[in-house]
Amino acid sequence: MRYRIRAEYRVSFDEPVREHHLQLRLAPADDASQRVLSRRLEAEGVSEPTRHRDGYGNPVHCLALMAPHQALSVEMHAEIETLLDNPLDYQPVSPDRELQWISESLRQAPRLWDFVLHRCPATADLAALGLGLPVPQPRPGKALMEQVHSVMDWVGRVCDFDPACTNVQPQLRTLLDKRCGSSADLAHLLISVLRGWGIPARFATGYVDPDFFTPDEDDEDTRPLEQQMRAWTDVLIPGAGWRGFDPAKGLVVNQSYVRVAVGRHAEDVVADRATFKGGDPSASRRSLRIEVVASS
Amino acid sequence: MLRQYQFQSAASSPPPPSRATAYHEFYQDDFHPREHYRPMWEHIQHAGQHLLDAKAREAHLTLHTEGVTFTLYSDQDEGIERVWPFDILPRIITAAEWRAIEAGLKQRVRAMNLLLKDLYHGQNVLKDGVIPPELIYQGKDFRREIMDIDPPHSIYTHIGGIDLIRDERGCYLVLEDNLRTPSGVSYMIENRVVERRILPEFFERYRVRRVEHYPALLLQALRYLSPRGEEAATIAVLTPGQFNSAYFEHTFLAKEMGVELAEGRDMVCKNDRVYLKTTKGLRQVDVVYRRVDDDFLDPLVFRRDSVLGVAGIINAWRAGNVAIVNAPGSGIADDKAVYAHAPDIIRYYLGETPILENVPTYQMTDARDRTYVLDNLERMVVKAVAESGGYGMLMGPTSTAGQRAEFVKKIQENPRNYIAQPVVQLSRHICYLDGELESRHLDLRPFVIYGRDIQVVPGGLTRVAMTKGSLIVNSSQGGGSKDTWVLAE
Repeated sequence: MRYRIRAEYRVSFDEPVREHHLQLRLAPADDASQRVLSRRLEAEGVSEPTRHRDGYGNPVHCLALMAPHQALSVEMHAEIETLLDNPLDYQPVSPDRELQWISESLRQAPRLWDFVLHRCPATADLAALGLGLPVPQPRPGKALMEQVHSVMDWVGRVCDFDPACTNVQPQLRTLLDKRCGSSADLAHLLISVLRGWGIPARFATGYVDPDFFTPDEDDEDTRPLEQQMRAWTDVLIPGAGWRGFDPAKGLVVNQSYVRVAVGRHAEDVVADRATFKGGDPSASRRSLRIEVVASS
Repeated sequence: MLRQYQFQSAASSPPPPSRATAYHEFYQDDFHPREHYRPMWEHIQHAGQHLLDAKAREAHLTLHTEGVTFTLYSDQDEGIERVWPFDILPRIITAAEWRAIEAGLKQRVRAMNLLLKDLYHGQNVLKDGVIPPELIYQGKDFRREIMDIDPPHSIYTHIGGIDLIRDERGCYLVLEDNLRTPSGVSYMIENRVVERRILPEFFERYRVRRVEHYPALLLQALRYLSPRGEEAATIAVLTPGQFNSAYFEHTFLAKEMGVELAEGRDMVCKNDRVYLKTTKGLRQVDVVYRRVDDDFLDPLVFRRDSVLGVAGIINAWRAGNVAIVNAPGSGIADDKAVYAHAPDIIRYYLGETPILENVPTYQMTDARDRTYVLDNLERMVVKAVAESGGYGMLMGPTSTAGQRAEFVKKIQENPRNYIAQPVVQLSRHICYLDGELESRHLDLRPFVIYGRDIQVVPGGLTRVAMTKGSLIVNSSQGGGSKDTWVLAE
């Protein structure tokens, strides 16, 4: 699939601010599942944005506006070709050798340990929370791909997806009290279970096909939703490498998804991070408007 | 599932704690002064109590007048400014002893620098199983944000303050590697200045090597790092401000080096360059000697709520337009759990036998070590791995049952956050206290500068536990200090 993506980030302030630094994670990059055909970032009144890769390899654009101003607008345009026609099309490793495969991957790429060991309140150890929730346990002899599917289904049963919700619950405990959350919350819950098994699982964000936001034809009550960034969980699957699982949709991530950033949890991949002087930080208004168009 | 594949701790369990008596720096076993202390001993006897009392008072007054102070924090976190505590009798290290110390420190800093470069790039040390990856990835001071950044000249540990102690056998051991923002060097110099002023007659009897040139050596090393070349280098000391306990040192070093002292608000980043705001406009900065912790260095990258750092400085560093001293992320090399692997790190990167030994260390992530420590807590020193200054520590022999219970809980909740060491009887030295010669325990913090090459200033900060029998030497915990003399060949 090919997608044309436009992401418009705006921030405004009640009073002028200065020395405004902004970091944006909006632009996709090449990886095994996608190819960037074109990409540009435009900002009014700002010198050429600089670009680097963060510690997880995500592209980050940095902008700075020194002079006093009350608003800043940035647009990212990209054309992407997604390549993952069938995410289940790979040479599987037999279930009895899967752990060995993962262990060897960890040995060869120690950076993967971040996605096994890291815990924060949003990806807390479910057993340690003592909620009395029956948490899925690994089943020896079953293929990991199949097991992750089961856990994804479990997440969907434990926690409803609220498509209008864009907040991220900072605590897994709160999410499990509410039993309803954003795609990021569900991704955190899936990560929490898999890391408990010792399986590398990372938080991913990106854009999805516009069809995700169109109303359900069979349900007259549903309305079109504003396009948003999506969060899901990437899992290291033996024989396949990283494969995405979207517990909000119950889908294995395929060519309808465009990956933008990965990290240990949502905080690592925030779309915008800013500092400025002057003005009242609580009186700033930020918006991110996304427009994804399938071009073929 | 994967737990069974995790690496086992590479550091072997240490032997049970020794109960031997402390080594005495000054006296031999027969209570006669050691050879190199004899001239000093003769002078002390000749001077008598009256004169030594006067000298001690003069030292205190000098430090007071010069404003040589430090901030002592109470339980209420209300800083109390105190005159720097100083004992007039110097510690003396022979040239032969110093040769070994110097070689050991250079070896250690070189290896730790290679470790940092590797951890933030290829991670071969983890791939080869020399250090368990969990140790690094669960370390509070491992900074993923700086992965693959190349600091100028690949140097991370520009300034090291390595704490040494002397065990019961008289062997120098490394107690801690301080590779983030080690402090104390200003006090090392002030101690020497005061000693020279009040006891010039001592210096007539010894050929003591200089330490006062430390700022010049540091300046030389900082200039070497300048991306625009040494001649054009603009250098700034970045301080958290006057409320920081080491503010005296920040002002001292800036003044002695003749460079700018700045707070975060005095600087700005633009186009991946760091600038000082001056009355004549922006002035590009090439080297930032930061005395601000990583967490607060750049709110765009680390803690968002920091007002102490400079937004964008990490990007400027990444772009190669500024050098940051010490490099961000250096803290993982002085994590006390990583410290236990220092001998392996030296062997791995340098192919050499460690010259300076470690204090035996128990890893609380190792179930066997943990059980042993929890069963013998009253004989152990327990330390939080990323703390310094004597904070977050349990001194087993002097602890209460309540304190031990608190640490048992802490260790069980977060074993990665703690290590334990048997109580080493730090060596002792005579001090002149209230008209008496009393023996007190002490350690030594020599300072290492890594610029064009690695240099160790001959001397260091000798820290003294001022309370009789106490092993806590940290100035933040009420410790004092001595001038440290390294004798010329």
